[in-house]
Amino acid sequence: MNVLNYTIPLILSFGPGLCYSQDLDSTGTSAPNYAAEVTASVGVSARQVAQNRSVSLAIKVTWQGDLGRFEIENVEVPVLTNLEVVENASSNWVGEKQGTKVAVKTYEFILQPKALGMAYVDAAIIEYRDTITDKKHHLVTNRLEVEVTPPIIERDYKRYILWTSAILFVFALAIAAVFGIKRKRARAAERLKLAESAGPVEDKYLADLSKNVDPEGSEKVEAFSALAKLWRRYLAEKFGLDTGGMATQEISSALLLHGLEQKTVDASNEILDACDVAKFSGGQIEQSRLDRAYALTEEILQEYRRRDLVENETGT
Amino acid sequence: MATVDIEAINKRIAKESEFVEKITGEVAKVIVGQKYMIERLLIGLLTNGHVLLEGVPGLAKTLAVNTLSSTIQTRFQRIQFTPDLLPADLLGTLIYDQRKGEFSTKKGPIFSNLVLADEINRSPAKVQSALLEAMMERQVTIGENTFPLDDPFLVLATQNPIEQEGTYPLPEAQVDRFMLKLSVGYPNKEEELEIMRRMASEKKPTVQPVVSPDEIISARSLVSEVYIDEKVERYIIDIVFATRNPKEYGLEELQDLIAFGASPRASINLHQAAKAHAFLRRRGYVTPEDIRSIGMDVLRHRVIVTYEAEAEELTSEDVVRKVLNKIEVP
Repeated sequence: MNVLNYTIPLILSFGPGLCYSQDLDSTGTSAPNYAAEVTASVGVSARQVAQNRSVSLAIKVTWQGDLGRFEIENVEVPVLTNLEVVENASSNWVGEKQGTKVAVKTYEFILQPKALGMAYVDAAIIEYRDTITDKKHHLVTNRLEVEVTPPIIERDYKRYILWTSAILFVFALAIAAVFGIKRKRARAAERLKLAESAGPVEDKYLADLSKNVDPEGSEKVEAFSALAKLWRRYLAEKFGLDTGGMATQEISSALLLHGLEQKTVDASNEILDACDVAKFSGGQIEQSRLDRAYALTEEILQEYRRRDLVENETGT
Repeated sequence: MATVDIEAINKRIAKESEFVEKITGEVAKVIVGQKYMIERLLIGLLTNGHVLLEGVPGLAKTLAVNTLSSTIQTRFQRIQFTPDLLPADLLGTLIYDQRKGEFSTKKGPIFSNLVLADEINRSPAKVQSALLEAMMERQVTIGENTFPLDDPFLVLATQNPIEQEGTYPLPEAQVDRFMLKLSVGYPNKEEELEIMRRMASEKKPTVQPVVSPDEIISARSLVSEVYIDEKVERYIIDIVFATRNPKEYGLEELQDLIAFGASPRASINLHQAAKAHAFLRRRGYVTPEDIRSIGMDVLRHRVIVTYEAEAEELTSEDVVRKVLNKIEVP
């Protein structure tokens, strides 16, 4: 009831200018004793109203004294042009204004415009009776006009929400599809890459060995350091050992626990031991040990490469 | 590039470490298993570092030290630490000679080459302090006279970790003076079977002295010549620093668990003990394996854990183990 929310303020503000009170008794005689005591005002909530909206008409009868001081016998619905009453209500209010008791009776009508153009609320006649003198009087209100404007286009929110949801859904679907396609392509590329590099892991280490370890070079310590690093990395990748924090003997023990044959473990130990000697004894090591460590590394890598290839072929 | 001749050191080690075989052979006549403990005792002997042995009763801690001392032609004293022991009982005192009318010095049992301080945590702090001071200073003052202790002078102390009632736990600062703290464990099934059989036999094995103090001192000199590469030295430093600033070494989880990291004495001892370990392996150079092997014994009593660690039932051994496993081997 939005209209009602601003009806009373509008009446209060527009009331005095919009209507007048006429003191006439029911017989047509005036009632001078009470003329100043009973007033009527009339107001509408808006001077313009859309055809598909309503406007509120309020008739307010005010007097000084108790509510029972006057009795409102009849409030005629004013003659309406291009408007029709859809709802009505009335209320009483008794209070004090500047130390004087005041009674107010309000009659409210919700009016619905019928067609575009001007609409009119003709004078309303309020008949009341003085309960002391038992005399009847009546008041006549002003004529009011309201402009009926073209109807406001109603938004179909349900449809709006439905459409918005549908658009968002389609949009999300499109994004998901784009990402899905991208992911699928990335996976395909990854699979392709894996398929391309599906060769034994030893290939990489054999290539590293020939590239980074020079058994004939003059820098033996560097050569053995590179060999030790390569061998430790290989064992870590191939057998999942954390070789970074292990000493030579610990690596050998871990390889045995891993189930490697003693021969391979011994060879691995020999490689790492030779590297340890070169690295930690100030580089004092015979060329033959480097040659042998290099050869052992190559031999084991080749052996495991061959095994991997056989396994891949047989699918085991 | 090193200027030392590793080959020459290797040859000297091969020659001068022969006594190690003899000692272990003699000790093995009495002690079954416990190779770890015997090896660490020898490391203490070779580096002039005192050893604290911790283990439950009946693990042959005292017997091992007794037997080791019997294999060396040295003076050996066993001191049973008790609550009523006084510093004078350990160090010696001045005795008044009525005939001469003067005070004479009566030296205590600490004036020996090998001293077994049995159940060191059963004596009050004043006795412990007297011993630990002598361990550091290698001299004892009685009255107005200061007497140097013999060389070799090695204190092997034992303590029982389970009986804490009526004991005086060694303060951290004093524990730090022991080069190694050994955690002596139970023998395995085969070893225990052998122990049982030997004890059942009426014929008790006897141990002969097989090495002289001079040989020990000479071996010590050779141990100090064992080559240690800078890479290995930096590895030691990394391990010790990781106990102080674990976060810097990717051990964030230990940051709140360590109250105090290892002292510089840990670095020094780890350096020396690793050399001795290499010597026992007949190697003229130290490898990271030596560090990892001896690291726990050097560090376990030097890393102090927080209450949070204790609440999580984490010991200093757990912390040291994590550090040793995390620091990358060179």
